[in-house]
Amino acid sequence: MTNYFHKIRKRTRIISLFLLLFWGALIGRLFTIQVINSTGYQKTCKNQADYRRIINPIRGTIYDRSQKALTMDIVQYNIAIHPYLIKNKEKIAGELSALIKPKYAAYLKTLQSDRTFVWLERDILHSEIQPFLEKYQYHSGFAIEQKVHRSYPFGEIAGQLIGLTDIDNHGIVGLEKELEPFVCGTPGWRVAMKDGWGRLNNRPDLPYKETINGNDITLTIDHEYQIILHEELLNAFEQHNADKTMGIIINPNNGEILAMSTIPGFDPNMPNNYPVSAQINGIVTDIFEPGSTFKIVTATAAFEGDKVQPGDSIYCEDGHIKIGKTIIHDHKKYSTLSFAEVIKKSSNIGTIKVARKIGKDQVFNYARRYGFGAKTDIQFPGEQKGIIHPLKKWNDLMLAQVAIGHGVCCTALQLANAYAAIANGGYLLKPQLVKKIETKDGILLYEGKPQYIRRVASAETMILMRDLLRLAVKSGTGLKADINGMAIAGKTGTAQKVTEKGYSQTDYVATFVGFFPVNDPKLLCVIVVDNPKGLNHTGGSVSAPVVKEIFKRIVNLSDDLFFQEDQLQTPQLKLVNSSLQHKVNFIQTAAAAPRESHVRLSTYQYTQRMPDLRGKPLRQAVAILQTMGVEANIQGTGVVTSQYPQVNSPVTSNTQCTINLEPRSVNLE
Amino acid sequence: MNAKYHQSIDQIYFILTIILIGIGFVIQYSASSSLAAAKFNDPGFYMRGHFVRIIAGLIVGLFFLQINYNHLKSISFWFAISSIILLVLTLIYNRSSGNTSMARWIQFGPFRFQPSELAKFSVILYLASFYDRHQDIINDIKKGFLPPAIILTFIILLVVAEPDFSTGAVIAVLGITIMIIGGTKLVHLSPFIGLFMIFSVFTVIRSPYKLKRIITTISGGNDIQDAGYQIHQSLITLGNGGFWGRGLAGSIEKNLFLPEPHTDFVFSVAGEEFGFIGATLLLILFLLLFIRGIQISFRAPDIFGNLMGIGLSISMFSYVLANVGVVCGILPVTGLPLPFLSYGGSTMLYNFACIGILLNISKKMLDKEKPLRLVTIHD
Repeated sequence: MTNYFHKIRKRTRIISLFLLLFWGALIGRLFTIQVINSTGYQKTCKNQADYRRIINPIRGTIYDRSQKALTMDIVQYNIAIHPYLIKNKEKIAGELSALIKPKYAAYLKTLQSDRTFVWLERDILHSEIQPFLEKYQYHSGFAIEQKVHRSYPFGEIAGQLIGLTDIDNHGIVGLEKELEPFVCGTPGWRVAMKDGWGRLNNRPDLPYKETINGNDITLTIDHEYQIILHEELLNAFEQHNADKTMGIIINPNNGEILAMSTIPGFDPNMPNNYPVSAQINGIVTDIFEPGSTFKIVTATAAFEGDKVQPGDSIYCEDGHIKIGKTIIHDHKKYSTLSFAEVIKKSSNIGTIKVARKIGKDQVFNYARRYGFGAKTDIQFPGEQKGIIHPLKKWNDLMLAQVAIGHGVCCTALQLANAYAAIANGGYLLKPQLVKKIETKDGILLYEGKPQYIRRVASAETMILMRDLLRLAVKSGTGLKADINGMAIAGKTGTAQKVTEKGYSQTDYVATFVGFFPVNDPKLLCVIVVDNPKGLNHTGGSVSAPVVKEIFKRIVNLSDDLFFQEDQLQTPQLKLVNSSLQHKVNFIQTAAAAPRESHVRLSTYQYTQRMPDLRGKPLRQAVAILQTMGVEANIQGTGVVTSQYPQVNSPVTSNTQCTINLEPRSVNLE
Repeated sequence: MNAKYHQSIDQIYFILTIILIGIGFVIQYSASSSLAAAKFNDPGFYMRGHFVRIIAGLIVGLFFLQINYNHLKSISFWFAISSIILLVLTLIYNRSSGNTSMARWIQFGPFRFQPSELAKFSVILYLASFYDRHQDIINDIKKGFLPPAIILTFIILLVVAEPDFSTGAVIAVLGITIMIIGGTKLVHLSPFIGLFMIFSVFTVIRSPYKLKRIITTISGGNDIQDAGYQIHQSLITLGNGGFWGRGLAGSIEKNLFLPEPHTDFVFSVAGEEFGFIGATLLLILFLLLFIRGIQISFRAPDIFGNLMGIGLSISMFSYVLANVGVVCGILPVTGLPLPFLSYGGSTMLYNFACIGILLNISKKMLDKEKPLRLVTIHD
């Protein structure tokens, strides 16, 4: 009996020992899981429970110099649902049709779908989704995706300059690419807790990061000038059936670029409709032989070295000169010309003879001083530096060619910059494209200031150069750029294009560089027409009229540009392009007005300004526009919510006013 | 002679039980709230159910505390027979109603009851009373070995037929353990054990999902489908708790990631919220309950109390070990509940019955382990 108790205890103890060993093993196993390998499991848990919702930033807006927005960001939302997680489908469909769009039946059908994931609504605007977001943002079964879409309200105008963004809203072309670090902003995120059924639970204690929107950019570009440049380049492109036309307008006094454009243009809203080559901003990337416009280098070198005076006579060999085995022609036979006339009439032989006199060292030196063969460091991607061969490769022929702008290549920007140095009295400046960069809160991050690179030549020389260039327009090859009453100076250039077989006899690059007023230049414009076809192919006949038209239109726009002339002349009607009937009427009206000796442009240009149409009903808005002679482009119905051109912007004869209307008042911000 | 009895219940055992019930209630609420909210839109659904089950358990426990446990000895054989009948009824009931897959329950009005829990209880009681009554003939194979072996086999087969393989295995292991402790000759027992093992292997191979679960366990839970998914989530839950835990109600995995957070995997949630420290403390509490139970049993005045107490203590503790073993991924997924923490009525009643009986035994236990003389007198 006692033995039996003993036996039970003995066997119980043995079995308990086994159980204890297993218990110990469990503790050890728990230690492995919870202490040794804990980090890995915690990470896995985080991965499956944390749901990080990315909140995309809004890109910075790109403005022109007068704060006109050249880009727009449209915030859109997509709503998706997991139908199986949504109960009370009828009730929710009813609320959705009240909150988003009145589509009860369609919503109910989507909600009753047996698929696991369905798009309920796509591309809803911010204002439309707001009531929905407030109620259903964290409702189980709904997933909301925010998209920010970049849009370019002016399409082809400044298209290449602004560039475009890719599908992820990152800049890939033009300024969008160059300024990407400033405008892109930083995405924020918000962590929500997900449960095993995929439902989101938003809790205030979970981490989040604020979205930082991109910075706003103000360009030096003047949108009005840009439109004028674009239109005139387009006219020239069509009129001369050119391969390409390019133009740039800069302020020579501070290097600010006011407009730059290349035709054929490109609409960044629809990049796929255009060849990739149209995305290129040719002003900074295309190099060409400048031709006679390059003669300024020889002239400046000659005046600076005091080797030649404007009045010095030069024998021009009656139209052809032989250098080595090559014969170089003038476009007309000249016998003896003064140096001033050589420039004015753009004699190749005269220039070559002067270049020989001053030597290749000085010609090379001044070409470099003017900035040829070096990048201008403009804030734009893909800039080319052009070609100037090293001095040791220069022979007599090379010197002769360079003197007349062959055998060297430059961009239109370099040309504009070099002429700006003449216009501003000798300073080579860094071209400015960005005026300022500000955060959305208005904190200034960057401000563009004129940057001086070097002094090219003395002020006296440059005054002399300006007079010579004025002469070239007034009575020389650039005659077609001249406008009575406006002291335009400039230089033509006609270069034969280089082909595989040497210089082409049929294809030319016609260039004109003009600036005005000559005594105190305010604007400088370079126009390059690539391969004009037809009777006229010279810079004087193809490009000069474009510059004239541009300057004329700019002057008509502007209040603060004085124009000064040696002597005042009455504006003549024949200058006006008759195709634009409205403009003729304006100028006729203006011409009848009394004038004083120094005329402010505003007195002879009747400037209309856009009224504020916002908030007015459609009929009233159209009536106002009709009385102004402005064509209305109506989009939508109801009440005007936005208009372009904006309030107070000047109205020109061919202005079209786009008004957007909405049936009900919406919050535009 | 009565003066030498304790007369009052063992306080240590009682306090341990109260602590475990309290902890169990809190953890049950925390673990089940998300699931209850998702399923019934009522986070307190399982908590209230658990509370009702505790009350029911208390009634059962008090009943077993108050009776003279020696009465159990006389009815234990009929108890075993009735549980066999109930098992057969369950089989018939479920087969006739066409429910063949998981026919473990039988309906009593509004209550659902798991007869296998009753069978487990009756096996322990029956074996204890058998060895108490037939101490002298244990070594006789016909009278001392075969009767308990046959009844045990019969019950096991019926439970496995339900099919509830895990409970069947638990009953088998428990029964054999008590038979060993009860003094059965190992020579008699070993062929019996052998037969059970062959039977187990046969059953496992016949059913692919059991095999898969075992392979999943052996291969370290790399398969994250089905049963592997449960183990995978359970390990993540435990690991996420780390050393100190995430605090009460801080579990992330209970938010519908962890399957069965309120029943089989309630320990994972405890481990996530109270960390390694908390999980270890909980296991220590269960160990103390076991050790105290064994101590009480050793001091029982008779063989029946002795064996019954040991058997019930081992059964509760083995459930703890099996459940935590599954949760830690070192045993195949079985669906065995954790005493006092898991949600479930039958298991709650069973555990309270065990506690009640052990406290009952503790009332009569001797001051010290001096059973030799006393038992002689008693006899």
